[in-house]
Amino acid sequence: MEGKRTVLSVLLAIIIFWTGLSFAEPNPKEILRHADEARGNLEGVKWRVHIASTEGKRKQEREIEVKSKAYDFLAIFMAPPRVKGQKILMVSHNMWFMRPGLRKAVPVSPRQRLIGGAAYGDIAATNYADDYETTSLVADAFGGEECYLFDLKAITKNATYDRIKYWVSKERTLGIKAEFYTVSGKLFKSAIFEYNNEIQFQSKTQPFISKMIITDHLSGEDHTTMTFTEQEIAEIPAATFDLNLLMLG
Amino acid sequence: MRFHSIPREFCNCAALFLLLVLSSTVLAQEKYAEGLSEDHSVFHGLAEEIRDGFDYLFKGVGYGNILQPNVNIPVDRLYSGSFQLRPDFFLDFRRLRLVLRPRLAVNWEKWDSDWEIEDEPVIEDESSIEDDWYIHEWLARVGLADNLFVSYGRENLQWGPSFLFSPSNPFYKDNGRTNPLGELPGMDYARLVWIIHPAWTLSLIANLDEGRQIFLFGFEPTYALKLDFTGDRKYFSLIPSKREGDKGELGAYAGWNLTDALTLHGETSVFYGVNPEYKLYQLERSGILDVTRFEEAGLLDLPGFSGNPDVDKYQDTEIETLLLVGGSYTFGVGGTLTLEYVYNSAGWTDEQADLINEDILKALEVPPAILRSFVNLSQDFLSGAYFPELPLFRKNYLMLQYQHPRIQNVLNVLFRFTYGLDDESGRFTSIIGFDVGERTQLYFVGRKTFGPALSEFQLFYDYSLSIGLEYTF
Repeated sequence: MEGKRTVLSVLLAIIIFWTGLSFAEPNPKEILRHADEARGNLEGVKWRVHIASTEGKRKQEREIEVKSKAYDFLAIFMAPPRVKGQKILMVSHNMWFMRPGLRKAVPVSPRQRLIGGAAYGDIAATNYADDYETTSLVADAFGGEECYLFDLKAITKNATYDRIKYWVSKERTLGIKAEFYTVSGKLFKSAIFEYNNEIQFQSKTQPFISKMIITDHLSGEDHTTMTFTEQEIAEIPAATFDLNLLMLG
Repeated sequence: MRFHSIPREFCNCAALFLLLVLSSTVLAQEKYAEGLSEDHSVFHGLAEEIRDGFDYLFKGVGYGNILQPNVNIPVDRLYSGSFQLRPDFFLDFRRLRLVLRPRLAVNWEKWDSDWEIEDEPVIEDESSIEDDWYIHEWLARVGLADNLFVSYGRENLQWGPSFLFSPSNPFYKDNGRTNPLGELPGMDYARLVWIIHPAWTLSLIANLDEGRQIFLFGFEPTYALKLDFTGDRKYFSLIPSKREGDKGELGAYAGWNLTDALTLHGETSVFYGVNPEYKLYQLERSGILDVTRFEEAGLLDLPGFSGNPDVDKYQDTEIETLLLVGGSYTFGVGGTLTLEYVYNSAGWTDEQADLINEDILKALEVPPAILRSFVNLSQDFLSGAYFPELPLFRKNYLMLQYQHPRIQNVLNVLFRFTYGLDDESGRFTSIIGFDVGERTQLYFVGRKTFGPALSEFQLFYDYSLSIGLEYTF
């Protein structure tokens, strides 16, 4: 009987110790996966993005409707009139650009600029959990929030950026700031994220990105603001992403 | 001024649109008037659905062009201009998608030429203005299931990753990428698209009518099967096709995204070569060349030329290959550099090119009727009727292109140099687009050819300059 109690006590101690460790040392991949989910990595979702960019003294705006499933998306430009009907399609990390009048879809790289500091790849959902490895994880703070500060290095060719410093809120498990670096280690772009949107997914309400403010450090601190609205879970059929059906119209 | 009869397909499309839009709204109103509130809600819902599925895009385009022909051409200069209204209408109604693109164009052309034949100018009509009203494209597509679609309509079907031209496409080699304001003519297609799996799509394509496309040798229906695969950072397609009267062709293209900035691509087609003498007599049958007079003047001294107008199309021919390989790199600042190489096994050797060039030189000194043929052919080429991006007379080509979009958010530039490795001729093309406000884009397009006289790119023109404006209503 005494022996049984001892075994149970040891087991209990192990469980408490292990659980305590889990809280103290959360799994970096799980944190990143949760943060990814609030940036569009869902099974079928559509939203609108308003992009406002200031480059030098010139301001430009775009209104884009996005249909996304996992990491594939179709973005259709709605405004201004000059660009209405232009489309960007990404399927399995292959990206094409289409515009009315141009009958051929042009393959483009995710690095190509959309407007201001925003690249085509910035419209896509992020998959930092799988595309990057954590080279260091330390505690830090941003905007008064305690954060995990990830130093991420690309491990797949799918990654849009070579290295990212990523601040994830400890309380909300959401990415709130990122710095993007070139291979040579130069900071070329940074972004801060807001999550004032919500989305219903698998019977639960979860936060969804509402704003992304990008600062382009290579071209004199120009700013680009992406505002996300009208987000909703939707069934997106495979035909949405089929080039054969997209070109006319 | 010239007025065209309204094409039959326009009537069909317009009727379809009107039927859908009017019937629903009128019926909805009638039911409302009768006080049938339940039915009213049904028809009102239908009208709402149609209204929600309707969209349009309306652009106005104007451009002017100066083209300086080369010394070989008996035309001193060509001026042209065009103003076009381009409305596009779209209607998505449940499983049906309708697209209608009518066009109204006013085209002006002026030829300057001091050349005379027997005291008569070689260009009979020095200038012309004509209006043209046509259906540029239209489409009716029905989704039989979520992954199965059938359509019929007039389209300019384009595919493939190449920038210079599209070797894998049996319908169009020219992809129209050098003229930002032009629209490539469409042909009539019946298509079935089956999405077997998100990564695999099979299309059956039947090109049943020439539509607005111009054919040097006459139109024949063409049938193609297109199998597409899209995988992680790569894609490829296989396109076997058969034109009626031909032996068939196999096209293919593929692309790989090596990193987020570096992409590679390739396109090819394998086909049976056509006997050059057969092509020549086809030109005669099309009324473009008077081969008999060429023969009489001793101009057709080509090896293997038998003088038999009924020569077999595939006599003494081999299987030929058209191959394009290329890659693009996007810099951090936003510009993209692209390099492409083309191999055309059916292209002329140096010996063949010399013989043909001799013939062209002789043609400039020969009886008027032959020169007249040459002028007609030149006019067709210069007007753009047979003016593809790459004429492909020779075997090896290189293209280097730099494209930088949205410089300071308003400027888009493209510089392209195409170089024929065999005859050392080339063409430099620049396209500069400037955004003016939210609705207007200004374009400046310049082309300049280089190389020895009578080389491929120098054959027809020296330079051209265009300025254009596109306004979205």
